[in-house]
Amino acid sequence: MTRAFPRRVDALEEIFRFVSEFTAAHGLPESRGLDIQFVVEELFTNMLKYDRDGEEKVAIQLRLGGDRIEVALTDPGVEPFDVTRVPEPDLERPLEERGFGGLGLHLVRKLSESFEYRYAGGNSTVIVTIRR
Amino acid sequence: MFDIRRENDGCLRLSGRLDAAQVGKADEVLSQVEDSAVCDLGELDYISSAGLGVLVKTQLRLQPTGHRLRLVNVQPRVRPIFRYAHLDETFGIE
Repeated sequence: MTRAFPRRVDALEEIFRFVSEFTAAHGLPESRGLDIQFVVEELFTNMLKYDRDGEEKVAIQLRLGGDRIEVALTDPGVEPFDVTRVPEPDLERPLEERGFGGLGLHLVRKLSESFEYRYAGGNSTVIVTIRR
Repeated sequence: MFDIRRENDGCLRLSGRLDAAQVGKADEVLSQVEDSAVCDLGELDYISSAGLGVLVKTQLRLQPTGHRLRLVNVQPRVRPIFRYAHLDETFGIE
């Protein structure tokens, strides 16, 4: 399933409905649906944050293949920004010292099996796989 | 749908889904907290890093004054997010 969403944070409600349609269509458990929603929200809001100049809609593709769920977000017409290279936050440091950057991507890594970035023809695509 | 309300006993009750589109609503209430407070997350179904951020921001503001937020009734569906973020101890989650 693929659908495109406007680059606005208030598109999240519609995005979560899209994920629910996908999980219902494939009989996936609620817990897996929440993981997919989490991953999609983090990647989508990162695209809003880092690719500020993008104007076109962000395409979200959800696909079930064997025992894996593939989540791919494509941001067209933007400069490359490889989110997989964002450094991990140092979670051992005290809260007041560690800052808050990179936490969302850290959590995406924790919930996923693979985390990949591709850039071609002005399109930034992030692909995450989650165990079914 | 997300809601946050302050009960008569001072407890803050969060319910629904705390995502990036809802953090403003959470921040409006949490920014008014000036003393130690308990947040009941028994009806919170979902939290993203944006939601964690508003809780952390509140904790960082309270800590220097000797106060803190404590989270109770954290549900199994959102518990792993706090654990993966190493925030269990910060919020006194048992």
